[in-house]
Amino acid sequence: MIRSLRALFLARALREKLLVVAFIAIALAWWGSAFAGRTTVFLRQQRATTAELKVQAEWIRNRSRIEDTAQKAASRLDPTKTLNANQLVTTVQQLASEAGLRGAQTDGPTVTRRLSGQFAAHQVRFTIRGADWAAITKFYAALQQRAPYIGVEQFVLAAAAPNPAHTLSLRVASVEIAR
Amino acid sequence: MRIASNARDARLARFSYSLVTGNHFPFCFSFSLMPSPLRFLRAGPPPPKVALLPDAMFFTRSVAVTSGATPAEAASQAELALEAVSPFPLPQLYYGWFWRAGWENALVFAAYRRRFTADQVASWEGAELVLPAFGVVLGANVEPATTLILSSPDGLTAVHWTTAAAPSLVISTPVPPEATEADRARVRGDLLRTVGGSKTVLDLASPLMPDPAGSDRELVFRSGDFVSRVPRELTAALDVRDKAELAALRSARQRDVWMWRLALGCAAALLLLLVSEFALLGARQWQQVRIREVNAQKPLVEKITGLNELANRIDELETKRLLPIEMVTAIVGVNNDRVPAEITFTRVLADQERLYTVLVEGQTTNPAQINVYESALRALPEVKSADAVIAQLQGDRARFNLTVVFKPEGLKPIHAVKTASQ
Repeated sequence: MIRSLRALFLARALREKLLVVAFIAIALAWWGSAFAGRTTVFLRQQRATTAELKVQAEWIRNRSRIEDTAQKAASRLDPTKTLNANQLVTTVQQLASEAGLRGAQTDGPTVTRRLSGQFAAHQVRFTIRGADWAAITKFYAALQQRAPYIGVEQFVLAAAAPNPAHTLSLRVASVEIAR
Repeated sequence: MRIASNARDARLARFSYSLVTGNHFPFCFSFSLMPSPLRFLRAGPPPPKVALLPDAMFFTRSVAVTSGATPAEAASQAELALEAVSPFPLPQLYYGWFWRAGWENALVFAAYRRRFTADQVASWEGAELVLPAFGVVLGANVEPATTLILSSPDGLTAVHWTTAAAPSLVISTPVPPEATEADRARVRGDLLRTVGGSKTVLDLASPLMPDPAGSDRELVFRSGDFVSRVPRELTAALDVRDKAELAALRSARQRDVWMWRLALGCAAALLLLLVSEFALLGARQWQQVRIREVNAQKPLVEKITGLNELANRIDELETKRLLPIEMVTAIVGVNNDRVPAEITFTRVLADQERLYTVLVEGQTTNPAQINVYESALRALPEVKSADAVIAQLQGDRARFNLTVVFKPEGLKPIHAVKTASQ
């Protein structure tokens, strides 16, 4: 069959041969390019899925160890002392007031992340203006005494040089065990 | 001129007709003659186009070729010999020769160009090979002392092999069309007597016809059981056409073959692409199965990652606590006694991400004090590293950034210290 086609091809005029070769080459380039694009997309997805499956398999393989660790960690907390989002805000506000910091205010909404089942983590940002150093250390000590139910994740203290009053920005966090 | 025809093969008859009429594309342009594509593919390739010229128009000689000559040397020796024996210069001849490597003789043949009309010459266009009719038997394998009698309507030709290696003599005698069988038999007898020494005499009732079974390496001619195989590399010498024209034809042929290979390669690649498309289709199905698996496992994995994060959060809250006041107190001293008087802090930053690091932005009216302060901090036992970089210098005033990293065991929480002291 190939020899028949070859004889047929070789018997064509030069312009017909050129047209045949050009058409086949264009078809090949067109199809090849489209195929390469689709293959690239597929390979990217395939690699991503493979990686995700591998990560999932790793998590599932460590499932019992993680569950045990989480169980032990949670057992060290008293569920009645854990704070939900609102309790976190009000508790921090109260501790600031008790330390003599009157200008405490939240900076943005509370960020809540549902960790698993009855567990959740909350974050809130506070800004306290016109704070003196003694009040800040008192407030900080009060916060630390509420550990591990309240944790300080970020601490920014700014001061204008001639002014002894500081501006304190805090990001505090808590873990909630729903009762 | 006589064109080869084969009554047994209709395609060959069409080809012969096309060669005579100048229509060389019977498959494409003659729809009444065109077989169905499938039948065409099954039938195999058509025989090569060969124009066989009357033997009687050619004179032949066996000429000596030096031992061990190359094809180019043999060609020049054959042409020199032809020039010597011919009354006409080479440009006025249609000539060729038959010689194989190692032979010490070449059979040369030539015809005066003016014996062919312009129409006859024009009809050769598209022919793969143009040679005298006896030329096609030169590739035959015969016993020594064999004479082959080729019969055609216009004459008889005797080709004699003294040795099996190569024909040594070709004699052609014209016979008038009105000659009887007895006349032809008499001419045959005369030919055999002239040749002499024939142990075997082969009479070919029909001329040798090109066989479609040929390949790129050889042309095959067949008449009944008699077969002659002419290697392709010898056809250039056998072809009687103008040698420059032949070179151009060979070059065009080579170009066409490369174009065919290119087209074939592209077609093969297209076929491969088709197969690959099916493979991709299958791979996508497999990928869908994996995506379903990922989606099915996602809730469970999210639960596990949540538990892991919970454990980490509790651990951080319990043991990896950020101690910003402790770090500030360490770098300024309990009564600000560690900071030079000319240095003022404008901003202090500590973050859970860099647990034991405090970043300080400060300014001073005495830039020299920055290095002094940096050195003092490095000397502290609880400090792992301290790096101060001047960010801006304007007159005596300098702004700087200070990064202090503490040793994890060097910091004690304030309330823990108080508790311990109580």
